[in-house]
Amino acid sequence: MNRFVWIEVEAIQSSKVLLKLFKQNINVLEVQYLKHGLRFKMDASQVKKLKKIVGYNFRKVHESGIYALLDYIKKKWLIFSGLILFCCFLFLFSHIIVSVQVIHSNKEIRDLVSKALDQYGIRELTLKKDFQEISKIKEQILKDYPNQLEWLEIEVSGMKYVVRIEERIITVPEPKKERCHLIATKSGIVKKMIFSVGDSKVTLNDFVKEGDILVSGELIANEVITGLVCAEGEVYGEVWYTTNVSIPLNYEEKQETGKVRYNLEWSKGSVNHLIFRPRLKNYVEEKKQLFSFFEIPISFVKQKEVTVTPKVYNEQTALEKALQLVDEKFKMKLGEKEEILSKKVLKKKVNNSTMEVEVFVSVIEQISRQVEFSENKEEG
Amino acid sequence: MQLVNKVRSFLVDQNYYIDIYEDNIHIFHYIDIMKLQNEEIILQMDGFRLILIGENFRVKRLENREILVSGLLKNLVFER
Repeated sequence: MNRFVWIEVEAIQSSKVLLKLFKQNINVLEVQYLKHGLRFKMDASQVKKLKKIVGYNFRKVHESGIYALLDYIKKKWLIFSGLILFCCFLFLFSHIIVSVQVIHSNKEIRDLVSKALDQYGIRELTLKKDFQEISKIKEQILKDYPNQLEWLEIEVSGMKYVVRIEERIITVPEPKKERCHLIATKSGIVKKMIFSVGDSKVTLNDFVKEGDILVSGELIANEVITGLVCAEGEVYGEVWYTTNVSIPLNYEEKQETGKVRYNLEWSKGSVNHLIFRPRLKNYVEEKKQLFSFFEIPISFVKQKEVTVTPKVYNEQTALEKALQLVDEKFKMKLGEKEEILSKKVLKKKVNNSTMEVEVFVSVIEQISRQVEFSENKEEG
Repeated sequence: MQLVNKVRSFLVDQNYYIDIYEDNIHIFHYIDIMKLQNEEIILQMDGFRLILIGENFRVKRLENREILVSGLLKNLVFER
């Protein structure tokens, strides 16, 4: 492929330049007449011959085809090398893994999986593996640890692998008890009995003490034990508690003013840092994570200005709050069929800033438990 | 272009030839340029001189044996 160049020369008489080019056996392929000279196209291999023509300043202004591009790249080498470098970094950052995060509450399982992943090349500062390779590794790890792992998912999230695991819990079925009673775990009044096997020793509204047999595994007919079974069922009783709660009387009421400011935030561990200085004195925040840069989450923060008004509960409201708190406390530990029957304030004491309340609570809850016994002697 | 010239020289058995168009004069196989000006161009051909007289002559292409000139040709002289 011929390489052509465009040359520009300043001359008063253009024809003289052309004659000199002719004398040097330079082929001029195209000529453009300028105001003060000439621009002509010639073979690049003949450029050296121009040096022999004295008295004129020949300037290369343009090259043809790919050479023009190469020449342009040569001139703008800094931009092009930066662009190439940028592409390299982009490729590197989009294909490299900087962390492997294994999510599970059990440390032993986490360590086990981390070790297995490391063995199969899923580790920090390595190139990302493709989907098929990851699928193979998942299958292999599940095959390697069939008793420990139920399910495994390796998710590529930006520059990290997030590994989620489901632990395999092998439950050994409890051996079926042959002989057992249902005994009372707490003192209370029997309110509900549901049993399928056994001989009831109590009736509704009976008061029972802790350890009393509620449903017996000994089946008696005419004062003679006719059979030994394992009593099955549930007995619910009314149980009483006294509980103390403390309520602060002072509180702050926040009211939004409608003024909103925006900010950015980065977090390191549990510590958050605002990028710009907050312009509001009192505000509440709403956050949304934008992206994560080298494991550092960058969040968009919406700050809403609020006015803070200090307030004091009156005695009645404080008491209502205390009873609400008691409700919440009991609901957390009560089961589906269990409920609070009643609450009664026994004592209340108001200090400078708090109110101490003692509450009597009556609850319906399960009070039975299976306890095995031997043929002649009961087990406690 | 060289290939075209070779084919032409093979096909056209002439020492030179001159093509005159409305605004262009195309001359092949000239030997030397004696004069090159806006109003006059003198070329040394094989055995004679070719004098082009006109206005506003401009060289469009200039090669070893070929010249393409644009301009208004008024007179063409073969000087032997």
